[in-house]
Amino acid sequence: MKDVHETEATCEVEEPWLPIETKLVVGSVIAGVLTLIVLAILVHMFLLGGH
Amino acid sequence: MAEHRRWHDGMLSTEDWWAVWIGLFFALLGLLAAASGVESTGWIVKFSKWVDITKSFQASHKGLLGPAASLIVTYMIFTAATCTGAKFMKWDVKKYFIAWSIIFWLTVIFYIVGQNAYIAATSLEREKYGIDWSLSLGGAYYIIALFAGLFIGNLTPKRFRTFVKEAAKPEWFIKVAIVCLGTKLGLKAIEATGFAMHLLFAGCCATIAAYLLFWPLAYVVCRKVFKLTKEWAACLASAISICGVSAAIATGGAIRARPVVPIMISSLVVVFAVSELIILPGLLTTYWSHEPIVAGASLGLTVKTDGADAAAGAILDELIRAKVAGEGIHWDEGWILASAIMTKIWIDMFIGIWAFVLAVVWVWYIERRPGEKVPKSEIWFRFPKFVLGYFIAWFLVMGLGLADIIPFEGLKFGIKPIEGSLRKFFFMLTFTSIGIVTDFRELAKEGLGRLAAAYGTVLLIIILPIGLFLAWLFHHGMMPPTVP
Amino acid sequence: MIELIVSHDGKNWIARNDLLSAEAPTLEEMDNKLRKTVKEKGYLEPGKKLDLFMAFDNSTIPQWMRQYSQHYFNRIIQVRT
Repeated sequence: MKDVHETEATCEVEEPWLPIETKLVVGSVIAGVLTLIVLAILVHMFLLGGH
Repeated sequence: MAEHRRWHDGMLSTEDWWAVWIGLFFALLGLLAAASGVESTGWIVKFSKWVDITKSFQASHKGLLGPAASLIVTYMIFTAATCTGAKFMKWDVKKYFIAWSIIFWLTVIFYIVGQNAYIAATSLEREKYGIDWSLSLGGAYYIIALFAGLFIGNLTPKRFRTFVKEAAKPEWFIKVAIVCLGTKLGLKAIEATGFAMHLLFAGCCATIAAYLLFWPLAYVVCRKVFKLTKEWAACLASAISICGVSAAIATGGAIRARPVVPIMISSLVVVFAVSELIILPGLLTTYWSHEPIVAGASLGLTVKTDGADAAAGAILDELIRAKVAGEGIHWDEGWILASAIMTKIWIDMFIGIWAFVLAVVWVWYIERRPGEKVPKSEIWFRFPKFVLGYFIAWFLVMGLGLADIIPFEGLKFGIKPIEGSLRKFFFMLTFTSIGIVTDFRELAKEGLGRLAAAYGTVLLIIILPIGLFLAWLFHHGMMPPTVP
Repeated sequence: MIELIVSHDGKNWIARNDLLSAEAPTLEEMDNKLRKTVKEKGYLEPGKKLDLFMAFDNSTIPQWMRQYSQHYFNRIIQVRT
C-alpha cells in the first residue's frame, strides 16, 4: 500500500460553484440563525434565569 | 483488514471502545470501594504540591501504601490496563510497553516538577508551605508536560521520537480520562444536580447553533476565498467547525473523498489545536475570568480535538480558580473543565448524524451517483463510544448517590481516587502525548500552505468570534458552585 | 447481497472479495466495472436487483489517526438488469 500522504497534491484546479451549494449553504445559515434565536430564548427563559 | 459490518464490530479492536472498557473498569473499582469499603482504589498515586520532595506524591488513601509502593503499583496496573488494550488492538505490545514506560516515567517527572510549591502555590498557600514567594502558576505541570512533549516530538532524534510515538496516544488517554471524569460529574451533580443539568442542556443548545452556523460559513470561505475544490472544502469545513480529526474522517467518508484529503487536513488540525491550547486559556483567564463557565464552554466550541480541548479546559480551570482565589472567591474545582468538555461532547455526538445527512445530500444531490444507498448504520459506526462510558459513569454515580443506595461519604471514599488522582494522571499523559505527536514540520509540507491559510483564516474570523459569542449567549451568568 | 472490501491506494479505489475485483480512479468508474463484472459472471438473476455492500478497509487510515475515529464509510450500490 502506498503512503497516500506523500503521493498526492493538495488542491487541484478550481471547480465551478454549483447552484445546489448555494441552496444548501443559505438554507443552513437561515436554519442556524432561526435555531439560535429559538434556543437562545428558551435557554434564557428556562435555564439562565435561574443563575 | 479492519472494517465495520456488524453493529458490534470494533468493540475489542478500537481505541474508542477501549477507552470505555478501561474507564468503566476503574469507575467500577471505585463503586466497589464505595459500596463495600474494600480498598480497591486507594493505591492510585496522588501528586501534591511540595517543598520537601519526599512529600510530592503518596497513595490516594494516605497510609494504605508507602509513596514509592503506590507509584510502582500504579505503574503496574495502568501498564497492565493499557497493554491489554494494545494487545486486543493488535499493536506491537513490546514496542508499546517500552514507549509507554518512557512516557509514564517522564510524565511522573513533569508532574513532580510542576507541583513544586515555588512554581504552583497560590499567594494564599505560601504560608502553608512556609515559603515567602511563588509563581502561582496553577496547572504548571500541564504546561511543563506539554512543552516537554513538544520538545521530544520536534527536536529529539527522529528514531527516538518515532519510537516514542508508538505509545503517544493523546486521544485515547483523554477518552479514558473523560470516562473517569463522568464519575466526578456524578459526584458533583449529587450536590448540584440542577447546575449539572443546566450545563448539559445549555451545552447542547450552543452546539446545535454552532453546527448550523460554523459549517456553511467555513465552507463558503474555503470555496470562494481559497478556491478549494468541494472535496477539500467540505472536509476542512467539518474539521474546523465540528470536531477536528474525527470530523475530517467522518466527512471524508461521507462525501467519499480520497483518504489523502482527511489525512492531510488532520495534520493541520493537530497543530492548530495545540496552538489554541497554548494561547486560549491565558487569554480567557485575562479577559473572561468573571464568566468562567462561558470561558470553559467557548473552549469546547473552538478547540477541535478532545485532547486539546480537555487539556485547555484543565489549564483554564486551574488558572481562573487561582486568579479569583486572590479575590477571595473559591470556586469548586472541575466545573470550568466540565463546561469545556460538555460542549465538546455534544459536538462529538452529533457528528454521526451530521455525516449521515451530509452523505445523503452529497451522494444524492451533489455527486448524483445512481443506485448508491447510504446505510443508516453509519450513524452508529461514527458515534463516539467513549461518550457512552462518560454518561454511564456520570449517571451511575449520580443515581446511586441520589437514590441513597450508596451514601455520599462512601462514594467520595471510592470515587475520589478515580476522578481525582487517576483522571489527572491520564490528563498529564495526554499533555505529554499531545506534545509528542504534534509535529510543526507538517506545516512546511508541500501543498499545505493554502490549506493552512484557509484553516487559520476561518479559525480567526468565524470559529473564534462566533464560538465565543455562542458560549456567552448560552452560558452567561452561570457561576460554578463555591467551596468554603 | 454481495459484500466487498473497499480501499484506496493513493491513486485508485479498489473493491474486492474472493469472487470480484475492480479498481479505478473514481468511485463511479469502479462501480461501473463492478456492475459489468457482476452481470458478466451471472451473479444477477434476470429481472432482479442486487445490492453490493462495500465496507471500507479502515486500516487505510494511518494508525496515528485511528484514535480519533476509526470508521471511514460503508456504502451500498444497487445493480439492476
